[in-house]
Amino acid sequence: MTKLMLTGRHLHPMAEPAAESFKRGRIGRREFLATMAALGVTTAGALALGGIAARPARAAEPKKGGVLRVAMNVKAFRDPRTFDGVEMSNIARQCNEYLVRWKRDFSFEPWLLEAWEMSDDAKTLTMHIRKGITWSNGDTFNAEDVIHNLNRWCDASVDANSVASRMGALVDSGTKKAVPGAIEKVDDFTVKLNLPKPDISLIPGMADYPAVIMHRSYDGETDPMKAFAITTGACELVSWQPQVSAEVKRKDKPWWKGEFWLDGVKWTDYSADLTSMIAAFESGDIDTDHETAADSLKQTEALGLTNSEIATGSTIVARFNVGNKPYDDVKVRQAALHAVDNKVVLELGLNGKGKVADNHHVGPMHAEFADIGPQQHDPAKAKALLKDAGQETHVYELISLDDDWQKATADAIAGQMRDAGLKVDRKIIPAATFWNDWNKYPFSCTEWLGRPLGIQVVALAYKSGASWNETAYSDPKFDALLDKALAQPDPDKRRETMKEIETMLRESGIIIQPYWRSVYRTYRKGVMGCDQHQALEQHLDQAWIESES
Amino acid sequence: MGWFLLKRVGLMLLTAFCLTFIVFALTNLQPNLEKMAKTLVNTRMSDEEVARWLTRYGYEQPVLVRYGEWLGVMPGWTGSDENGKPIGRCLNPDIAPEDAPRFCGVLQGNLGYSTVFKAPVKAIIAERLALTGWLMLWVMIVMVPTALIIGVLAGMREGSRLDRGLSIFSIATTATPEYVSGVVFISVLASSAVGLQWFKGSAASAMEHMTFENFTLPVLTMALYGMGYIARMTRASMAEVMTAQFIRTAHLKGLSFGTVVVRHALRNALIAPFTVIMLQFPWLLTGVVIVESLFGYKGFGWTLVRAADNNDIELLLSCSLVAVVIVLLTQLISDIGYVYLNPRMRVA
Repeated sequence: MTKLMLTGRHLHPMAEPAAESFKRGRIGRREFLATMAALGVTTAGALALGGIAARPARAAEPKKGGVLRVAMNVKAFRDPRTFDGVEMSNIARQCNEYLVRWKRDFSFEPWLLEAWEMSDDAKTLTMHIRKGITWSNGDTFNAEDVIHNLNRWCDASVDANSVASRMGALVDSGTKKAVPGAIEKVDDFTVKLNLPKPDISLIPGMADYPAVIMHRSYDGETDPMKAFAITTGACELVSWQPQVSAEVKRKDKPWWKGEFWLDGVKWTDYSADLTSMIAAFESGDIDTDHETAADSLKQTEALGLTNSEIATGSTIVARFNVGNKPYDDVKVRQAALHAVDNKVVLELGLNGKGKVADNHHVGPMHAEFADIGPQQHDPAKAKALLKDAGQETHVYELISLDDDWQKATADAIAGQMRDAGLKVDRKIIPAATFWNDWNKYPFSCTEWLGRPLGIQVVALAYKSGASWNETAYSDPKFDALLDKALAQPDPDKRRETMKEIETMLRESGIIIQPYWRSVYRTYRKGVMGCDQHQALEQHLDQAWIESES
Repeated sequence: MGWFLLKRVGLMLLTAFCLTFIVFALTNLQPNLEKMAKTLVNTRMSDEEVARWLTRYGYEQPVLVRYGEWLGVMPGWTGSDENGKPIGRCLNPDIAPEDAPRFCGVLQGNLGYSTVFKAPVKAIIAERLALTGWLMLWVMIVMVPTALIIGVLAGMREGSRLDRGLSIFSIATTATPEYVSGVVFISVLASSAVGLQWFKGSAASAMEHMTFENFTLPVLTMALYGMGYIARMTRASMAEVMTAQFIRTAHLKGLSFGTVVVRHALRNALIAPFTVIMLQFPWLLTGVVIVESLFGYKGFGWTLVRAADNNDIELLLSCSLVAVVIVLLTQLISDIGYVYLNPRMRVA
């Protein structure tokens, strides 16, 4: 018989009711599994209770050996808290690790932490640090390291430290450092965070790619060889040459987590040029890539390669900046929203490789998603709204990055608006200069990566005055709702608030968010376990090479 | 001769000075600096953060002062980073700040530090130029003899069927830019689309070990383009020589056609192509930009693209220095060589 609970106790009384609501379709699969894990039910137990067929067992046992060759942009190393590309973290994460890992099945796995506990009011987070992990220099991994990293993360005075915005309530907005007394060392292996206000996004924030844990002596060294001289991970860094290549190899010493199958990993930079990447696959120079663009899937398939797909919270928004006339008028914004049929944009912009979204930046991949129905598509109303606003002659200028799918998406949006009788110009800016003013353009398309909680991205992108708020949208009522949602750890309760947030966001008309993207990774036959991750992370401890190419 | 050389070296220095100043001024335009700060620190940096960063790292000084620093006639800037640690142009982590030299520019033999590759410019240029050197060497080995043979064969009997055939070939290759021929070669000779797959469409592995398989296509792509041009020049020169009086004399002496071509015509016909071949070096330097990017071969051309993309000031400056030296040096060799090949010329 299946063992239902992780420990010897009898089945948790809340498990069966939860399974019941799952079977009746009241909660999603992802949320059900997360609930079961929280109650201490085994995975096998959860599958049995929920009546889910277990995935077929792995056909082959992992094999040790071989160097995995990956095509990826090798960006220059910098202080991890200022990472601005997941590519950097994919090299770093083989050497150093994270407190928490966001897994491919969207659940969180305690990694350097053994467990954590959030109080009911979401104001105290107790973190239990995993025992028995040693740094490569012999130091024991303990609370000192965690506190050192937490303090570094919370230092908002450092240019471009993006973890500070993920640490939310822990950062004092006045001193731009951690709130005094908030980080409390209970003992060598326990750290308690006393938050001035509730914040449920801390754990997901710690799983995000810039939050890699460095040794307590790390002080912003930018030479990767020195920065990764002391590590906890399975691999050691061999070389890191920006724009060219990077290499890690498995350490001789055993890894606390168990087996790392590959002998090493080598990343080679093939720039963004598709031809050279396909050529590299054909030449047998690479085993897998970082990400495969949706429009080259046909080519990679034709080569007999495997494409791994995962639906994500990644998306693109065509957003208005309300600081620019006439976009301060909600009617002008709403006119655009009503003119665009998101289904068509998905079809034209992404070859249908994704899921239609409803202009409020929260989706079914988020536990707290509240379905408020699709965006109303009504070209006649669009025209009427514009007339109401007295802006019939207004010419929208939609700016986008010079990138295949983003360009195509913006073109599709512009096309839809033209079909509705609106006047639209398009402007394409190369990547080199696009980001100079990304948050100031009056009307432009921006790519957003997915985040585990729906509330996270909304708070990051649409809160008044937030550094990544590119819409200049500011509404105290909306901010109050965000604060309320951030204090609700239970997704079911939070859903009520989210409903209001989503509705308000859509009614404000600041974004056209046409779809959720799927992301792809390609690998050759004989390579196992390097499927695409929703945040493009490379968890290569899962990968092995079954046969040489 | 000595005066001539001196003049040439002087010209080279002057050109290098002017060119680097232009490059310096362009890369130091305010938007370029802001863009660079964002690529270096964080793409989504705020304007205040950018301004603070630029001031801290000495980019806010007047352009002339900074150019002087790069040249090594002005002392390098100093300051401190956000943690109060001393930083400066001439400082590096391996020596104590007090011992660091005051001047560190080109005149002191310091080409600076590449912001893209995070390494000293000197090391990068040396490594990448060596890789391009191999590519150029093989291109020359393939291109020059083939082009000369085609040119001579075409030019020795002007208007013949052989001449027409070879002329069409050489015009066609010269009229096809590398980015077209390269893609055609990859899809025809290296991809499963056509199925030949004789070669590799990526030359990335050639950086470590060159093989016939991975290096043929880039070499072929570059060689074909230049080949047609040299062949056309050789043909014209050959055709002209073949109508000269002394060739008629040789014929009338009763020499065989082969002997006339090899003994009498060839030597005279090769003077003009020599100059053209020397001029191919600067051209190769630009040709590698496309071919190296296309085949993922990380040499000088590829470095130039990356440096320009990321506004890597000091690397771009050194790339221009290299370009100036190569262009003027090959011209110098071509001028001197011309004198030796053609006894009618004397260097003043």
